[in-house]
Amino acid sequence: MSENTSKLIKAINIVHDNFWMTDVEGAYKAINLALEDVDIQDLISKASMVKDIRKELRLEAKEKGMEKGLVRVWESCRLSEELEKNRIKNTEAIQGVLTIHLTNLQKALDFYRQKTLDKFYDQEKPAIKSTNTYKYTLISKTPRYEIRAITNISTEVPEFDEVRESLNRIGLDPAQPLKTGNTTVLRLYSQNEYVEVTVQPSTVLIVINMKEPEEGRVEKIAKELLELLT
Amino acid sequence: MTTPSFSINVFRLQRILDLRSLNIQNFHNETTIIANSLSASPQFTTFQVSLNAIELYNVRYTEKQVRRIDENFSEYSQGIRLTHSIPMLRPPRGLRYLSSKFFSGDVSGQIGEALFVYFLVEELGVNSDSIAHMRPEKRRGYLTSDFLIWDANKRLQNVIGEPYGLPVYGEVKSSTGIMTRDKIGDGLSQLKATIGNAYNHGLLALVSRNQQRSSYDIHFVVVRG
Repeated sequence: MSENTSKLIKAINIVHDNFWMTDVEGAYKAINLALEDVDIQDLISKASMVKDIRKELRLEAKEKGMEKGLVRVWESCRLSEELEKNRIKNTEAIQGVLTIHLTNLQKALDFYRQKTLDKFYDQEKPAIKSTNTYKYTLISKTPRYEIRAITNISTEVPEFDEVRESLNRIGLDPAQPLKTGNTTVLRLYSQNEYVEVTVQPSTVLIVINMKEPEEGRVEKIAKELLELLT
Repeated sequence: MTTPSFSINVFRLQRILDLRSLNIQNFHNETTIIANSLSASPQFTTFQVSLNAIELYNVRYTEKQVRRIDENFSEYSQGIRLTHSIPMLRPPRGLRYLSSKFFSGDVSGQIGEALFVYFLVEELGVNSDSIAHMRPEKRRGYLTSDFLIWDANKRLQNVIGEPYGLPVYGEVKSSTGIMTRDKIGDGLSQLKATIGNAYNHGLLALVSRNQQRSSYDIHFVVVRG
């Protein structure tokens, strides 16, 4: 039971990350994988039953003319009694809601799969490029480029000397990284570019602003950075 | 180049609220006590926000699709209205464009939710993959709090302050004005309904602008089922 809850929560985040980087198929795959071992119908029916009970309780409160500020607390007290009566555990209902959330995301993705997401920010749908350790898309908003990447392994920002040496080779000068608990931000400069890289354990966002736009150069910077971080 | 940073003060109500004892008889009394004690709560910690990170948490965990809260973060807390180009079309009857409002519950709600996740992940070390944002289903009437947190590594121990089971339920209420008794009451009722008779804990995060209007404060109310 608990393993399922943890798995469903993780799946929701994987779906969001894939959708963020426009990988609709990747997101779809993550949902199917998460729902594989789950008794979908049973969990959904429990969550829906709880939803119906709450609806009835609200109607009952309305009929009783209950003070507006007390309706919710009254409903929550009565709900516990009703769930006990119907032998539904709150944790099961919650798992049902997680399952419903994933199936709702699945429906939303179905829409994109059928319609084919051919436009994104008024651009052609960006191609997904992948290696063994990461996949990324380049979203072009010239002269601003955004690279959204998901990594298969946990990212790691090397020592500053290594970062500088590696990026100097492609003409970028890094400032000292800014590190908070889970996130590192790199700022890189050149005569023609300002690059901001936000690194989290499984995602990297690279934003490149160029005085003279050049897509080949953008790809080169993206690859160099992603290789450095994975 | 210096990066703007914003200091967030985090407070925690000392008392853990027992949801089983919360009922219609004592409800107004409890919410009034909490509302009145917010300004006297002991400070738990303070932290600096990285705007790059908060925008990523905004995109990943909040519902309303308002982007670039990193750019709105300071102006919004100060109540400065930026000049935007307003669409030529009139908005639907009874509604106003966000660009013509000083404050919108949508934006402050989003800042509150993003800050909540930020604090959990960046400051407490909760695994970001173990937090699910469930508000869309809550709005559809299903039983859930805003966030479900599967904190297997027990990173919430210091905030909760006693042993706890999984999941932990998170409810976030945001305000650019005074945190009202009604908002506190809504959050507590939602947690009571979601946790029910299970022996689980919940965190009610009350996010509001600080007195200097320069940033935000988070007040945590810890509850147990």
